[in-house]
Parts: sequence; C-alpha cells; structure tokens
Amino acid sequence: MPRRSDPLTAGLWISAGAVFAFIYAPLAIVILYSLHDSSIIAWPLKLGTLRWYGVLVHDTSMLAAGWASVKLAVLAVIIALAVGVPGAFVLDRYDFPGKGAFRRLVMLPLILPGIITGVALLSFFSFVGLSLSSGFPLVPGWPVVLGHGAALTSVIMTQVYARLQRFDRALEEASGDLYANEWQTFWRVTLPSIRPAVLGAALLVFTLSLDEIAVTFFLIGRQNTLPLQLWGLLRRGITPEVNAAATVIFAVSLLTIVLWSRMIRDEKGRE
Amino acid sequence: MPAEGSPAGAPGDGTPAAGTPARATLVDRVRTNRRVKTLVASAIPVTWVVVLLLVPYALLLIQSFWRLRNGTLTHELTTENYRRLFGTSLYPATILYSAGVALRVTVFSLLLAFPVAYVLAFKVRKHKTLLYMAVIIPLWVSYVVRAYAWKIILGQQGILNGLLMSMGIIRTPLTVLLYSTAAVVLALTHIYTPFTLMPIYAVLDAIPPALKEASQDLYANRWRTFIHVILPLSLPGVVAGCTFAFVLSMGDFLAPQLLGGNDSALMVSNLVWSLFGVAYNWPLGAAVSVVMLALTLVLLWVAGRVEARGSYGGEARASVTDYAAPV
Amino acid sequence: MTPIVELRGLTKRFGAFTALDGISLAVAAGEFLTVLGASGSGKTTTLRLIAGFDLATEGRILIEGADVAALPPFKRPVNTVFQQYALFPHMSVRDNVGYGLRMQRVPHREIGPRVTEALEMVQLGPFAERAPRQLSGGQQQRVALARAIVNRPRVLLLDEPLGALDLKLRRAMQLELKDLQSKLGITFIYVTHDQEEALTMSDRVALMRGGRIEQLGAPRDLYDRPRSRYVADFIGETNLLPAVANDRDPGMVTVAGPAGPIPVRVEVRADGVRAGIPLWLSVRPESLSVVAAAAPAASGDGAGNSLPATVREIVYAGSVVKLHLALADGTTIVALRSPSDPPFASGASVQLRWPASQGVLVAD
Repeated sequence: MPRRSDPLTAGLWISAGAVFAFIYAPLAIVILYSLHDSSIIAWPLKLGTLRWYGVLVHDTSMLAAGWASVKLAVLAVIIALAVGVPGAFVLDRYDFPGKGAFRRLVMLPLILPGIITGVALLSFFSFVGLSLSSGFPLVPGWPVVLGHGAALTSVIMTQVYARLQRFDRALEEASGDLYANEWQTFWRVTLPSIRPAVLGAALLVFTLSLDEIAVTFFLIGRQNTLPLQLWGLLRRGITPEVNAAATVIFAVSLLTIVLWSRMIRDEKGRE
Repeated sequence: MPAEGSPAGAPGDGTPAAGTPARATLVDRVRTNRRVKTLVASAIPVTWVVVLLLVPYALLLIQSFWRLRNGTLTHELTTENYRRLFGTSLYPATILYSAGVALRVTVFSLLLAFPVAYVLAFKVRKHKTLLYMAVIIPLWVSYVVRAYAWKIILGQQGILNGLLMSMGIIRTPLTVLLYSTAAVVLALTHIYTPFTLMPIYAVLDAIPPALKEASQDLYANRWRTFIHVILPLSLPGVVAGCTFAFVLSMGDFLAPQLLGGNDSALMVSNLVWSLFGVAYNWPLGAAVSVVMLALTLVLLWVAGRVEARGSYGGEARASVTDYAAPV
Repeated sequence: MTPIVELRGLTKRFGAFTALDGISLAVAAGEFLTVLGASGSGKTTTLRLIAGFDLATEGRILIEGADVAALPPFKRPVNTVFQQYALFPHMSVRDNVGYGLRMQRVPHREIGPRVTEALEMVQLGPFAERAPRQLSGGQQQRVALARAIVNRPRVLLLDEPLGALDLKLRRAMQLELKDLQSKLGITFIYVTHDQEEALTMSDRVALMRGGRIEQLGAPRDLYDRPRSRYVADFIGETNLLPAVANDRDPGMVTVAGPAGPIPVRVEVRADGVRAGIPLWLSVRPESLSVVAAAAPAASGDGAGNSLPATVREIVYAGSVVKLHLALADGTTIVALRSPSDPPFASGASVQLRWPASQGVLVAD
C-alpha cells in the first residue's frame, strides 16, 4: 500500500515505540546500574565503575552456581536431543495407538506453569527414592538433570517435528534409489537437511535450561544454579553485584539468540 | 578396463551386482514390517515420556488423595485434602485472586502487544526479522532479572521514586508502588507481553497483502478493513497469545513473592510452594496443584474450541499448543 | 466521446528503477482492452496505479474525467480481480461477494438478491454457503469475478486472472469472460502475458515493453502491421529475415541468398524503417508456401517473392506440419504445410514463396 503519513499511522508507530520502550526500559536500568558507583541502588545513577563485575568474578558461590547451571544445561540438551529427535521422527512418520495422547503429554511441560511440573517431578523422585543430591558433585543432582531433560524434550520434539513436516521425502526416495540404506540416507541426506533446526532447538533448550527456576527449585540438591543463586541474593540484600550478574546473563542470552537466529536464517536459505 | 563378466564396484550395501539376484535378508524383512519398525523407533521417546512425564503427573493426582498423618506421608486414600481445599476460604479465594491478576495481565498484554505486532507485520519493510528478534529477546533474559528490575524501580528507595522526587513531583516516596497487586500485575505484564506478541505477529504476518488490497478495492476504508478482515483473521493468534499470558501468569510464583508483599498478594503457586516447602503438607499441595492443572487444561480446551469455531469451512487450524514452543 | 479511463504521461519509479515511463492511454467506455507484456514490462504496475494500490510518481490518471491520483482505492469506482483471487478465507462465498455492497452501505434487502444474481452469472449459485478453500481454482476465480462485478463498476481491472488455470479451463474461461463483458457492457482492462489470450479476447491491445507502450491497436493491426521487430516477434509466430534497404527503390530490399543478396519486394513498411539501421522482413509461417527447388516460377504473380532454403526438420503437429528450414545465411524459417501435402525430406532444397503484400519490413 502506498505510504500515507497521517495521524492513524503516526499513532500506531508511537504506541509501538512506547511498548518497545516499556519492554526494554527495566532491562536498561538493570544494565546501567551494574555500573553504579555505590552499593545502594537508588536514584540518581552514578555511572562509572566496573567493580561490581570484579566482585562477581571473585564470588565463588556465584561462580559455582554458574558452572552448575552450565553443566545442567549441557546435560539437558544432550537428553533432550537423544529423546526429542527420535521422538520427532516417530511423530512425523509413524502411527500408533495413543499417539494423540502422547503428543499432548509432551506439550504439557511447555504450557503448564512450571511449578506444577516441578512438584510432580519432586513427588516422583521422592516416591522412587532418588535423592536430590545423587550424583553430586559430578552433576547438580540426577533428579534436576532428568527433570530438565523431561521438561525440555518437548521443545526439541516440536521444533524438529515442524521441520520434518516441511522436509521433502522425495530426497530420501532419491537416496534410496541410489543404493543408500536407511542409515546412510538419514546420516547423509535427512540429518544435514534438518541440522539447522536441530541445532537451533538445542540452543533454545540450552538457554531455557539456564534460566529455569520453577522445576529447578523443587529438584535441586545442594548446589544452586545461577537463577536460584540470584534469587537467594535478592531476598537477602541487593547490591549492584546482582545487576552485574544479570547483565552477564543477558549478554549470554543475547549471544545465544543471535546464534539461533543465524541458524534459522540458514534454514530459510536452504529451503 | 574391468574384466569381462565381472561387475563394477558396489558402493553401499544395496547395489545389485550384475547377474546376482537380490535376496531378502532378515534385516530386510524387519525393514518392511511397519509394526516392528514403529516399536523399535518409538521405544525410547515413548518410554521416556511415560516414565518422566506421565507417571509424575499421575503420581501428583494420586498423592492428592493421600493422608498426612502426624506430619508423615501415608498412602491411605482420603478425600480430606479436597474437602479442606474447597472448605477453607483461603484456597478458593486465592485461586480467584490469581485468576483476577491473570485476567488483568492478559488484557494489558494484549493491548500492548497488538499494536507492536501490527506495526511489525504491516508497517515495517526493512529489517523486519531483526526488529522481531529485538522484541523477542527480552523473553530470554533471565526471568529473575526481569522481576527484580521492577523491584529496584518501584521500591521506596527505588528509581521511580527517586526520579519523581528529584523532579519535584512528589516530596515523600510513594509506598504504594511496591508490594501491591498493581506491582505484580505490572511486572507480569512486562514479562508476558512478548509471549502474547509472538502468535499474534505470526498470524498477522501470514495474511496476504492482497486481502487488504481487495478489501480496499471493495470500498472499505482502512479502519473497516481492519475490523472486517484483519481482526477476524488475527483471532487464532490472539486466542493463543491470551491463553498463554493467562495460564502462565496465573501459575507464576516469583513475581508475587518478590513484589507482592507478604499476605495481600499471594497467588496459587505461592500456596503450593509453601505447602511443598515450609508447611510440609504434600497431599494438600498436590490437591491444589491438581486443581490448577485441571483449570489449565479446561482453559486450553476452551481456547481450542474458540479457535475451531472461528475457523471457517472446517479447515484444521493450528491449535494453541502449536504456538507453545516460544519461537 | 470522453474516454472512461485516461492515463497521461504516467510515470512510476521505485527508487532507481523506472517501471512506467510516461505512458499515455485512453480507454473507451465498454471496450475490452488488454495490456499485454512480458514480466517487468510494467503492465501490472499500470493496473495497480489505476486501482490505487500504488501512487504514481508523475502523470495523471483520469477516471470518467476526474483526476483520481489522490484517491485511495476505496474511493475509486473501479474493481479488481486479483491474480491469486484474494478471497477472504474467513467468509463464505456469499459474504465474500456481498462485501463490497456492505461497505458501500447498500440497503440490506438489496444485497441478497444482487449477490444471488452475480453468482448465477458466473454459474456458482449452489456454492453460496461454501468456504473459499472448499472450491477449486476455477471456482475461486469465478467467485473473485462475481465479487467484483456485483458492484456494477464502470471499469473492471483484471490482473492475469487465468494464470493459475490449466489450458482447457483457461480457454473456456476466456470465452466466458468475453461473453460476460459484452453482456454487462463494463469496460474491461485486462492484463496478461499470453499474447494468444490477448488476441482472442480484446477489442484493442496495448503491448508494453520496458515501461512504455510499444504498440496500441486492434489485435488484427498488431498481427498484420507490427510497428517494430519486438511487436512482430511477440505477437504470434513469425519469421524475421535480416534485410538490407535499397536506397533507390523503397519497395525493394535484399535478403541473403546462397550466391549473394536476393531482391525481395516489400509493400508494408513499419514506421521506424529507414536506411542505415538494421532491418528485418517479418513473414508469418502461414504466408509461406514451400515448393521444390526445381519448380517453375509462379505465373501471373508479379508481386510474389521467392527464396531458396534447405529443409532441416519436419515436425508433425496434428492439424499441420511444421517445416523448419534454413536460409543461406543460417537464418531459421518456419513454414506450415498440410499433412496431406507430399512431404519433403530433411536436407531437401526448396523454394519459399510469399506474396509481397504479406511481408512487413520492421526495425528495432
């Protein structure tokens, strides 16, 4: 449509801009105050110091929590891939009794409030007798690893399933026609084709696991993850160190999302 | 030069060597047996999902019928948890209160998300994906951080108060900002607006521009085109977005805890949290969770019905759950 | 007689790209005008400017004498049939067709009968309550048509409406559209890239190229008297023989022969023809008769031309046999023969003959 500059369009742009500002302002404040030269967070902002990042770097419990979060996220990604990718193929290509129920069950952790999934898993592990600290210090606790895996498998499954639906089966037929067996076809034709989607979903799971609180809170053993550590700090006393930690988390998330969007763009380019 | 009569090299495992009839092996027979293939392929995913999702949720349900005797969990079946739940005014009141908060959050998120989704879908030409990403990114910033941000903004010594005081608008800090329902609603709206935006944007972006042109060609001005064409077509996305915002904010426990104050703004999840924690009454906690679970499922079902009715001609529409993965 | 639509010096630029370069056109009321052209020729841009979906960079658009340049689409008395139909998926066929009437606030009780009437006209009466996605491509196309004509516009714009249909359906729809147009008396401005479609349906054709009108006229005129090589080549099939003008006799040119240039008589010359620029002689395949090289010269036909050629390929095409031949300089020629004529073998030497009145001399 031809561009018409008129009050209606201008109003639309202004409201969109205002909402945008609303979404970003609090984040901006958190980031700015990580550079605040005072240990009390109040107005006015006194920009100009990096010491809180220094404090962060020396805060051993924060670092331990960060490391635990990373380990947990990596394990969650591995589990989610191992279960989610075959699961996506099963959904795409096979029919079995209860398939509908299976689909809906898989979606539940994504649409239910995390606390429900958290207490359900807690009840389960308690019933089964698996201690929350089992596996420590290698892993932050098997229950929390399995819990993240369970909750996040659906992400991979839905993303890869969506990609498979768009995948051209004729490519696999051509591969078979040219004497490749199923495994070779999967490895050389199907997988490379869906790889960006798989990697993108894996990155997504990584980020979601890093930020997971509800399920983690109920299943965590002795070692805190980063969000829980932050939360603990928040309830005690707030210093700009929290802001520094938050900024670092934001930067990591940003990086992951940029990487993820590159994957998506590669995907689109390939199709 | 290959010797006469001998076949050329055979790559892969299936190349028929010239002159040798191919024979079906046991593996081939398994290959073509659909049922066996299904079994083998689905073993791991299905087992995993059953053990780690079905069983826990089912266990939660069963646990809600167990009796707590002298502070110890027993496996005796009883309905006393539900009787207590519906009998004591605390629990229904909290559920209603949570629903009220969720409703407010949903309405505000919708009002904020729709214009942005509209502008992104129809008014932005260059860098559309980039801007969309920009709106979505805050979703991936730590949730704790975002809730915390409001704490430092709204507190008595917070930034908003400081700003207003330094501008001379107020003289003493406002105490009503933090630790109130309004703060919780504000923070939750802030957190869930991008969630609401995504499905709405997806649906709006999928509307072919030719439909807008056709509508204007048929004498509808821009406002009427919006009402008669764009809005109806955006409904599935609106329903999906609102359902998300509602369900997720109703079940939220962090924001009320950080920003709600001690008793006045407790939501359902805080109850569950304390029942599984300090109060140590797992069966009751399970019962409350089951009620929340049931409410959520009912809501999703209703949302699915609304979408189905909005679709014309019975085409299978994307359901709410298709938007569930936050991308 | 005031033209119903008039374009004056219409120009449209998209950044550095000029889609329309100052075109002027007058469309008469009640005529079926086709804007014909290849992709990128500017034909769709022209239509969109008339409809109001894009704004012109320069020039004027007059509809029924009034300048509409500042008017949005919903204030212009024209309706469009879109290439992809653009039916509203969330409305039934009936609601789609009645949409324009509702927007014009036509009284409620009038809408029903008018919608029914429009649907009857496109033979879709029983489909009124269906959803667009339940209809085939051809049926959707007719709904789009009904939705436009129900508003009784003075001018109907059609943007390659038959592009997505298969051949037989397209041919049937062409006749239906033509029929509808003469019955309703609405002015049709029809855009297509299919020259055969343009010739079949139109009162006049405007062939566009590079944002300009290459030739405007009745189909016959474009076919028999192309104004340039582009027109001769675009419309129908033709043979283009490189020719050299004769300074002294404008009625004669020379064409390459096996042993030097051969004089050829020419009676029709296009406008841009003059000495010193490359010229071509356009002769349609159906105008050529093919005889054996040794055949005697035609008697009593002083205005005939004759050229030697060699047969390369014989292609059987059902009702006709196409001969692909080559001239001495390698130029390929296509001629037609009846399947019942004695056949020529590949490699045979023949003579091509045509009356002087049938060749057109054209320049670029």
